[in-house]
Amino acid sequence: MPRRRKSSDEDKPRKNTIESFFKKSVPKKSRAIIDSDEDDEKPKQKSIDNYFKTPSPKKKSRSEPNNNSHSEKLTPVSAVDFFGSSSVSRKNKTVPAKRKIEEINTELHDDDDFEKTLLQLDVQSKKKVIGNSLASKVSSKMKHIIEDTPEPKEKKPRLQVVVPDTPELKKTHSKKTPDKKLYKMELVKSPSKTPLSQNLSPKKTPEVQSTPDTIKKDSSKKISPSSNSSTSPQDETQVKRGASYRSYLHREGPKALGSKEIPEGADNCLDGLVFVITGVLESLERDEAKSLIEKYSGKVSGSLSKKTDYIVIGRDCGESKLQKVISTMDVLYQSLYNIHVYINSFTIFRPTSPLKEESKMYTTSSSDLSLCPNAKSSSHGRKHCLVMDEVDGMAGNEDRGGLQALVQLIKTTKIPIICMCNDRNHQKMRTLSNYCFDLRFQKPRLEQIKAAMMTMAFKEGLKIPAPALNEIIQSSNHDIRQVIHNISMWTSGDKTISYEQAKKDSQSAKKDLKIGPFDVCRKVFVGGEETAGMTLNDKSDLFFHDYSFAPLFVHENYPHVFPYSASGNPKRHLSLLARTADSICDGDLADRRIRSEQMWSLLPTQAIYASVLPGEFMRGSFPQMVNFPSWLGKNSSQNKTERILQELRTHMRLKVSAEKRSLNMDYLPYLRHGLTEPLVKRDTQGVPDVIRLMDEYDIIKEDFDNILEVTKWPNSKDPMSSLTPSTKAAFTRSYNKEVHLTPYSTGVAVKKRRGAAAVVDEEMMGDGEEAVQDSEEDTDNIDIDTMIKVKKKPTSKAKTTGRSKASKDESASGSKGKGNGKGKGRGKVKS
Amino acid sequence: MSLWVDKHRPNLLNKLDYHKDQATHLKKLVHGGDFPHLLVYGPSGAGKKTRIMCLLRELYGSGVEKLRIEQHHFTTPSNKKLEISTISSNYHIEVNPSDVGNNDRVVIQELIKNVAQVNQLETSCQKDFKVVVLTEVDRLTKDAQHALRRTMEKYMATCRIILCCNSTSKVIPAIQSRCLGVRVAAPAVEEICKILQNVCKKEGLTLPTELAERIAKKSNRNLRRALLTCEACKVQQYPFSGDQDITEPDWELYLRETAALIVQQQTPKRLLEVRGRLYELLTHCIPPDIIMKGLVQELISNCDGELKIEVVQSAAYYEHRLQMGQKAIYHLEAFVAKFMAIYKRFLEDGIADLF
Repeated sequence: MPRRRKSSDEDKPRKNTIESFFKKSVPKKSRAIIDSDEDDEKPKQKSIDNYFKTPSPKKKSRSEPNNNSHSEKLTPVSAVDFFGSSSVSRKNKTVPAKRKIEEINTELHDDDDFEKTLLQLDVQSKKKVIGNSLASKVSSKMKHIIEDTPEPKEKKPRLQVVVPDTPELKKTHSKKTPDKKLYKMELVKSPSKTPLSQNLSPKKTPEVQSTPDTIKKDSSKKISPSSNSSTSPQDETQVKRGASYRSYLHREGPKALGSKEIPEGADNCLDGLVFVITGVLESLERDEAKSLIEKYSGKVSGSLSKKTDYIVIGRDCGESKLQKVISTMDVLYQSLYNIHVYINSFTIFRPTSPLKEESKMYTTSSSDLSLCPNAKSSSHGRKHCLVMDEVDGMAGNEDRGGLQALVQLIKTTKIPIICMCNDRNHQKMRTLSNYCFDLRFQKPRLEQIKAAMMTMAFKEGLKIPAPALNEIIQSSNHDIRQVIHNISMWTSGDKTISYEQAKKDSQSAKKDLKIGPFDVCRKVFVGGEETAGMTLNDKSDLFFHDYSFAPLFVHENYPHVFPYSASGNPKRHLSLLARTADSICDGDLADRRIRSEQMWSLLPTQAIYASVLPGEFMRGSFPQMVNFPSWLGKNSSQNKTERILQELRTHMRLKVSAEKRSLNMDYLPYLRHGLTEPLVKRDTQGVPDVIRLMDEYDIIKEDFDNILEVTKWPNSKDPMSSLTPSTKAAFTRSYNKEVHLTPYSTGVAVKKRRGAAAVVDEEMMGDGEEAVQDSEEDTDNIDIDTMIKVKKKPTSKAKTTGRSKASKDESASGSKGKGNGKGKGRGKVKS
Repeated sequence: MSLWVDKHRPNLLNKLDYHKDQATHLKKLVHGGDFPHLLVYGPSGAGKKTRIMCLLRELYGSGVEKLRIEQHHFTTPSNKKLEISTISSNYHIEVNPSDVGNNDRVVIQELIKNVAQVNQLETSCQKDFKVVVLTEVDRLTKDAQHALRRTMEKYMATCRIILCCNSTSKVIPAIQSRCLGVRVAAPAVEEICKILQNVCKKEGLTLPTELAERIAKKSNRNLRRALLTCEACKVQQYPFSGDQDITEPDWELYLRETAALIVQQQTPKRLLEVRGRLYELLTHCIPPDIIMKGLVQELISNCDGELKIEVVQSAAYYEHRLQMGQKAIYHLEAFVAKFMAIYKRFLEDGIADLF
């Protein structure tokens, strides 16, 4: 371990410098900031103000408005005051810090010549860049933020500024405090400053006031020892720690106790705010400060956390706390500048959640990001983008309309938005993909991962033989993250992995992947090395990838396989086919039991019969694509035929006694003939015959078409194809001209009620009431038509039997339902 | 102009053309006063429904011929809506519960309850019970059959049930024992010939005996099919000649062609081809057992004595599993594959024997 750490330490400073150039961020070891001091005095003033302003509210509650004028007058004075003191401290600091940079540079020289030159160049340029840009930007940004944020007190509790733990700064953003606060703060602080500046240089204690620059200074100072790693970094830090502890023991108490009067605040003005006090406050005892805060319902906690709203920094403050503040600030700066914003996308648009605040925050700061079209476009010349991760997780119940909102955002944005998702083919992505450039990431190939892993292993000083690496990569199914995790885990004890070890480990750490049914099917049958090592369990596991689908695939594809064991002998091949088919049948029997009797314990049995055995019999070459099971399609068309037959039978039931299967096999072939023959032979003369036959069997036009469809076979020709269009037209016309009365209702939508109404009519009225019914119908014009037809019909069908007459009676009442809506209404009234 | 088969359907017990003894028995049963539940069974096209209608007419008079189609709605305990159509007169109701598939139990319970709970109004001039005719009883689920068993006893006072099915093998014994079984066997070839000729006489046609016999044989003693075929023959060619072509339904032709393909060549490719044809038959709702039977009949005719035994044996084996299984195509295909294997082996052995 120690060795590794060292090496990483050596790497880090170098890397960090490079990174810091790119990022323009202020990482922990931000020497750069020191340089920035020189240019930045003016803007910094602002930022300092911020920092003053923040602590102020906790100390003092709101004061009366008339205070305001005072405060405004006083402010500049105090700032100048402060400025003077801080500049002193700065000078003291800069010396060691600069030395350190040089040290690093020399170290780099030793390290690598090329790097050295590179770095030197970079450092120089960076000095300038940062001097000009970063610090000034920080300050100007602060200014922006302060000026921009509109509502003063609104977001008090842990409102995160993009990065979760930056309570301090966020406060400065969000809390747009009136000037009076500033004033008050200064009242408290100013006395502390003077002594502090005097103390400062000898003790090397950090700055009292947490102005951005001081913090930075501090950080640079702190970090530099660690970057001195070439000369035993641990000793250094230890020395340092000891020193700070000593200074802690020796640190002086408050020097100006009671020098300030403590102002009165409104009740509960600090409600919900969390404070951390560090260092010695010059005008207050720690306990006093604490009780003061608690008096106004604030909370004082011992250590910095996400929940902390304010940190009160006194003289000789705790370094760890300060560092924490610094680091969080670093992240903040980084995020402001670099804008690598990670937002879990679905929270953005949730209206009531606390995270909405975040999104608001985000959009307010987005004036900088120029996310909004009217925002000033990146004045500082940087490019930003917004990364939306897991957009496919959007649009659940949680965030309805999230995708639409995102699309809306994409339409108006001025910065690129990068959306990421796992499942590109997901239905939800269809909307989004119309607005995005489609960039697909394939799973990297083995060699690609391997190269990267080798580099990593080399850097970490690991010895992993190439075949072992192959093994590891394959077992994790080319999942880079898992490869890295696995390697780091397996090398935690020993720096080398042998091939055997890797193989063993990766076998046990095999990623459990889901194979699609096509691959399953191929694996079931294909011979050769791919499946050579599979145990019985492995084979039956294939079935369980999708146990309802796998048997279908196996059945569909087994005849396509050329089994090795047949060795080209057709007789043997056929007998293997027969045995396979037999085994599949067994699987089907098991399936039936499973499904009908819920005997799920039979699944393994089915696995053997439906998948393993066929695979064993037929194992061989699989020269073609795996086919999708046709059973599914055939089954649904069988169901359709069945439905048609059922309907036909219901329609013809009064005449035909056959159940639907014999209707299908016996009647329909002849009906097909009988319905088309007259048309084929006699053209338009045949039309009346056909229509009469249809009426006789209560077949409607749809049934006619259905019959032709059901009775159509590949070996039979379509009689309708030989008809001239005029015959067809004549048939349709004359069919539509007449009203066809059926004993069943033909309307689909209101079918049920009509049928019932008709029945009731029939039963209640009897024959004698027919006349009454007719007279009633005279009032209803449209109904007259249908009823006239009814009267006609008996005459046209003079020679019908008693039974068919009965059906006609029925059809009379049924027709009302069929004819139109009014008929139905009346029928209901009667019932 | 309805088809002959419907036009010349007898509607009185004493007008029935065959099984006349049985007809007189039924008549006596009706007039004897104590009418039991009936279980009418026999192959399709033997005249079960016709006989039942005649029986009903004997029971209630011509009023029973005033039929209407009704739609009934049921809700299963799981809140699924069912819809089933029935045919009813004032005296009876005919329903095919298997139309609703697995939920037939609900239909049986609800429908029969509805019918049976209402007494006949005028018991003086008519029977004091109604009749429920259930068709395709052999397709009922076990659940429904058990429900039926209870219902049959409970509503004996107001309702009689006539069950109609092709085979009693799928009717549970409890139901069989509660019914008087009436077997309507398929008419003999001679009887069919006679009927065909009678019908033709009524239509004013003359039918040569040879043709009638051929039609009867062709139709597998299925009277319905025989009459339909006969009418089709008439449309095709009249006057009849003894040796004229008898038109076959398309599916039969197709099935026969399929069998021929199997015999012609035995390769995996052919197996796939046959599978396609089997699917075609199945999607046309040709019952799988009929397909199996048709195949075997055709295949057998191409086999030698010893081979025949083996083929029939495996056919029986797979037919049985067909009944037990779920996906018909598996079993049909397995049979075809088996036949191909057997046949190929036989052929090659035969060739080997020659040398």
